[in-house]
Amino acid sequence: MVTNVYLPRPSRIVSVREEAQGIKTFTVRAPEGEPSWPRFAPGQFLEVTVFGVGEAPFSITSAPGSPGELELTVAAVGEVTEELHALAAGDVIGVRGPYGRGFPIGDMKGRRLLFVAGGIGLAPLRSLIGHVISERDDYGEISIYYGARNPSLLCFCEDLTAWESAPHIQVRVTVDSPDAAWQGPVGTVTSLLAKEGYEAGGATAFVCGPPVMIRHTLRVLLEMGFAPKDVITTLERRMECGVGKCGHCTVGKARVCVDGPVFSCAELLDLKEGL
Amino acid sequence: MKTIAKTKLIAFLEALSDDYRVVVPLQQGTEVEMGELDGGRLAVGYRGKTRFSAKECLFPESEVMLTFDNRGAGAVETTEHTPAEKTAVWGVRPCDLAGMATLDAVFLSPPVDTYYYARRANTLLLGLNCHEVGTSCFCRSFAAGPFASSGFDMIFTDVAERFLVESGSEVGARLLEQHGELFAEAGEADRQEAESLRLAAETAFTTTLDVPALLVALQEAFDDGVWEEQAKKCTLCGTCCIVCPTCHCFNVEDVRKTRKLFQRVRYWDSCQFTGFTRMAAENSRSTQGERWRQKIYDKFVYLPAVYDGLLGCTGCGRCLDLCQGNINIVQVLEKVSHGH
Repeated sequence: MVTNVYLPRPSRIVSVREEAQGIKTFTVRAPEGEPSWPRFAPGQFLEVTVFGVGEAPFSITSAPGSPGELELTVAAVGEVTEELHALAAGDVIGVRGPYGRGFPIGDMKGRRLLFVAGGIGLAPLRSLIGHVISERDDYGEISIYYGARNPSLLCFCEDLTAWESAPHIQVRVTVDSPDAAWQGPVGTVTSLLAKEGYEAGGATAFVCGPPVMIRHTLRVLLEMGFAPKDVITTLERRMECGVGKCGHCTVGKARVCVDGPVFSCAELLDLKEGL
Repeated sequence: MKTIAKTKLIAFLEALSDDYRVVVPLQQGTEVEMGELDGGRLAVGYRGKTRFSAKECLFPESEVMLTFDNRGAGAVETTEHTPAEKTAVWGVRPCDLAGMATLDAVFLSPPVDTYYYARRANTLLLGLNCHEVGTSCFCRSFAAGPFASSGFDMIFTDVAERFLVESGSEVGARLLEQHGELFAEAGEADRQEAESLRLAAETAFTTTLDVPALLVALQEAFDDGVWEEQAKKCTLCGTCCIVCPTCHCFNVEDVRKTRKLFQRVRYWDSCQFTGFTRMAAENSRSTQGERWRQKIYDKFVYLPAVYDGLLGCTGCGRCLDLCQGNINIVQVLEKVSHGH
């Protein structure tokens, strides 16, 4: 008998947090009958079923391991996500996964780390940042550049504050359109990074955000002297199956669901349709 | 090697229908389509190919995967619809048998696709060699035909009043034995006749594709203007994918049946549709040229890179026959290979 890879396992929502305007973070308990989540790596994703609506992939936002609960951060931008936003603590969703190839943690040891995120693109990087901070001594200095269109769209504000106060972590937050209370930098995160500069030697950069932001940031990082193999991003594509069959999420020969979603810039330069 | 009189074929198929749903080529007006044995006139000696490929026997146009019964208070009962029906398909052309090798690679590589796996295990493939080649056929360019060499439980060759029959699997051999009264031992004359039919068919192709040259040319043709140029003729109908024996992309949708019952259905999708790659943020293939190129590159570059050299084209020619924009893919690809 073959295990049905398409069968969602019921999992209960433990709590829901308003993360930013139109963005919520869901804490989800391990599937019913399982003591903990299967071991996952930062950068992996789950296929989530909202019963009666449909299924969609979401990257895991919380730090890895085999915890009893994990977090998913979701923007309401379509049918499944809007109905997911209508759910509350106690409601049950279906889950498949974790799927995909996560961040190359083994290659990061001893290096300085630069994170560049736009909007909800901080979600998958937050899992990695959480992991790195839990093994803080294994890595060099950490810089986090984060931007959103306006202050109401900034995610993980408590985490940003906590990270800022940790040793040897620099956090820079910018918005395109400030409100009256905004005192930080104004402009895109990529232009802030370019303006302030960053020493590429011995560093690995992690980039996630809207597709246009990713493409622009990769270019800027290469211009700053990063080698393509030291620039890592995670891609979003339309997915149906999550397991490499349905054909939707391909980038050249790569299937984002199984070969990614994490790719180095070197890998993307090698792929047709990559950059 | 055995023979069976054409007049006895129906008896064999009816005997199979005790254990199997039997799917055969049926004459429907001027077309031949695959359908159930009792669904029309069996096209015993049909020439050319069925209008649609036989892939539907293994990968149906749409299928219910799961049913969710929402009992309220977070209790959802899920039913799996793993196919259990045994099906025998007679008259599968070599191009379609070759296409099934591609489907196997996609759906049976880990993680195994439950639905395809079950259907594949329950399907008997009874092939039918082509002794007459259609004007759009170019299976010879892929060594996929006109005669099949593998991928079947039994293979039939049309030799005048009878079929020459060989088994290609244990199940096929057992069936030949089991229904021995319908079959006769083949003689040397039968063998020779089949051989001369094969040779005649192999030299009858009017459409050919230089596959080795194409594979080389595609390495440098990604940014060629030919894709956008051809795409201008494309009507975005997706027919090329629907009739293709190797196209396997699918969409998944949850369909409401009653207030509490939902079915998760998957159905064929096409990379030629604008929505195929559409997301909230953007569409990663925004022009028809990019989508048209995707179809070609997926079949000749990406699939072989992922699945050990396996190509996504078997030369069945259906996409040439049925393209609504009258695009002749072979001519386009020959231009790519050998200059404009």
